[in-house]
Amino acid sequence: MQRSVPAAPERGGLRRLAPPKSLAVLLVVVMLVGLAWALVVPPWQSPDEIAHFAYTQTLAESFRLPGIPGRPEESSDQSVADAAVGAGPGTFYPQSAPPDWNRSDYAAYLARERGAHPPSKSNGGGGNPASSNPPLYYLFADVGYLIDHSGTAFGRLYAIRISGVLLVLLTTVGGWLLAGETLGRRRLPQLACAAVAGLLPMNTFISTSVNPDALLIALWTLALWVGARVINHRARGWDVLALCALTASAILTKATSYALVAPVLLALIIGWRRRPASERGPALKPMAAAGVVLVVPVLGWLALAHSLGRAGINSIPSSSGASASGASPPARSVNIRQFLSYLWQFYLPRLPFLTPFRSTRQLPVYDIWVQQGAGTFGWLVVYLPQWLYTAAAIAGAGVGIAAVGLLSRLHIRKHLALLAFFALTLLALLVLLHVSDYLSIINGDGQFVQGRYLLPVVGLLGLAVGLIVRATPMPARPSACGLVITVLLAVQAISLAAVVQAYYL
Amino acid sequence: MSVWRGWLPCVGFALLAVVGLVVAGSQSITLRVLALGAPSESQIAILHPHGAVCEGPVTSPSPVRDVRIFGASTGGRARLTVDVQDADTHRVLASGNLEALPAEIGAAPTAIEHTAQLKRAVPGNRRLRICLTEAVNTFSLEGSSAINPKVEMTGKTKGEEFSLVLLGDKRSLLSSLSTAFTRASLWRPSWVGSWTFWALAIGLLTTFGLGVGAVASAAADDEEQDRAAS
Repeated sequence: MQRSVPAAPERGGLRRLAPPKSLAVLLVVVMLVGLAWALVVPPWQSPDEIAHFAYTQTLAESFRLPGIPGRPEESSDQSVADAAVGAGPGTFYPQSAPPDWNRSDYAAYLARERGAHPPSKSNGGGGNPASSNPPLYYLFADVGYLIDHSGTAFGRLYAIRISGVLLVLLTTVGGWLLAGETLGRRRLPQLACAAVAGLLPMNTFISTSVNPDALLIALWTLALWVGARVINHRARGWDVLALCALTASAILTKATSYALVAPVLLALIIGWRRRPASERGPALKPMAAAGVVLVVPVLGWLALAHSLGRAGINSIPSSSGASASGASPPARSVNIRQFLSYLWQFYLPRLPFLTPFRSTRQLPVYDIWVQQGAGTFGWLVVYLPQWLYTAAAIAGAGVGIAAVGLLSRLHIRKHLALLAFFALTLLALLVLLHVSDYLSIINGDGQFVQGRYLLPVVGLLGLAVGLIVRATPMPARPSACGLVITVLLAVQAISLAAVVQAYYL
Repeated sequence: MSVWRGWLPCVGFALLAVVGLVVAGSQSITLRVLALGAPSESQIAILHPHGAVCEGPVTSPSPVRDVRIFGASTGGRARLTVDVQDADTHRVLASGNLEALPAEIGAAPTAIEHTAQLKRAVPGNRRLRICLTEAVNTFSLEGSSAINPKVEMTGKTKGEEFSLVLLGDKRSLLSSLSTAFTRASLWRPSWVGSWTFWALAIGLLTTFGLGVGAVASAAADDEEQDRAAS
């Protein structure tokens, strides 16, 4: 997969820091699209944005984690703004309850906000669905929050969203570097990979919402790149340190990232074993130091959460045994046969002897991974035209088959090592999501997984597309890459139009 | 020169995409001129044959051509008459009909929206009352607890409103952008106005050109690299 052609010449001095022109142009494109998403989506009309904003505000205003006993979930500042725009009633029903379009209502809100007794920003902080998340993303979001601290709740909300554009840019750079490390420094495959990572509409939508997934996606994409570096460069000290720091950051962003631990360990072992025997012993010391960088912050967070009497890891019904209210019946645990039945019915039509396990109208793999992954906006209520989902399913299958076909020709050990690292990353994420989903369903909490939960591995989708572009004969390669970018931009435009129509027309 | 030949099709793709988007954006949509704001989250009334329910007053800022409600028949095909009345005199200003089938379990929210086309347009800026009468079957009407204290739903439990949307002229999506951007500029930071969305729309259009530029640059780099290698 890597370096079958010579690498691009090294650039010296300050020029080394400047991105290649093609990447710079792509970043401008991603920034424009990101800004559009950040501003077009109405206030709090993104999954769980109400809870994530409340968490951010509590941390910024009183430097405390949400879950303070006796406090409401939202501050007066947020609940007044929420009620004024009609965000709460409209969450799942933009057709019947779009945001308030009345200018005089907005003027009345502003008058209250600027009056002698504006609503309090610091009287929230009660428990909310995001309370069990670690705080790293919210600390990042607080920078945006504080930029417009003296403005309205809407000013603060949109400042956070706009700061999310930086995260989608980071994901794009991560995609570029990942392709460079894996496929060699060939600009067209790198461009295709970075474009997929940065321009998939669902990714732009989530990354520019107030949502920890925004940071999660960027960190995972970078971790995939650094993991590949660890394997390719035989576990060099700084790479190992960076990989461990990224993994710790990802875990401190969202508990989903515990799924990164196994592939990261695999990358470290492979990289270490690829060293000459004489170097393996001395290499253990920096690796142990890097391990401390991974373990200590995570343990620190778990200890802090424990001392505060809160969940350090998002509770899965069977492990917690009770809901937030503490009143639910004892949770049911995993039954392997039942889990396999669930898994079968997620991906394949139900066989007559299997107990029904479907939580969606159509096959879950289509409804959740394809439809929601390709783009279902708002609180998963704004859909794209149906033909686009069919096209996305066909394109996804095509990319998957082509990538597998190309990968099956690989025989070099280093390539197989990279493949194992990427495959384990995908598998670990899928296992974690499916177990959580299965537990949620059997405990009566309904479907847990959403298409966006696959976005942390968007870099791998980009890599598959980059691989295909790289395998395209050179004369047609620019066309293939151009087609990828044009299709992504067209789908972005259609997605934004769907959002505009759902909320404003 | 091979680079030129290589990425020239990209220009074609970009042009094709822009033309396709313009054509798609030219198709007509019906503009919502007023949404009461009561979400269609639960059944708030059952309309039996000849049963009626009214809601008002509501004032649309512009002429009303269609009325949209949310719900489903509970069996067979429901037929409803929608009357738009003057809220003060209860004089019928315009009427329309709609038909509704039972909803599938788990159907998308749009599957339960039903639109009655009025026989004539009702002028804007007038206090209106909307009345629904079921003719032959039963209709489950969707709505929520009252959102707007000035609006009253008659005949049923107080404190509830049925979801109601008044629709105006048919226009293309592209020609409606001005309305959309004006609406979108509310509830934003102080520096955001309609102009921001126009600027972003133009920016999005330029991304197709920028995309071609990125491909051209990447192709040139790769070709240079190949030349250096050979």
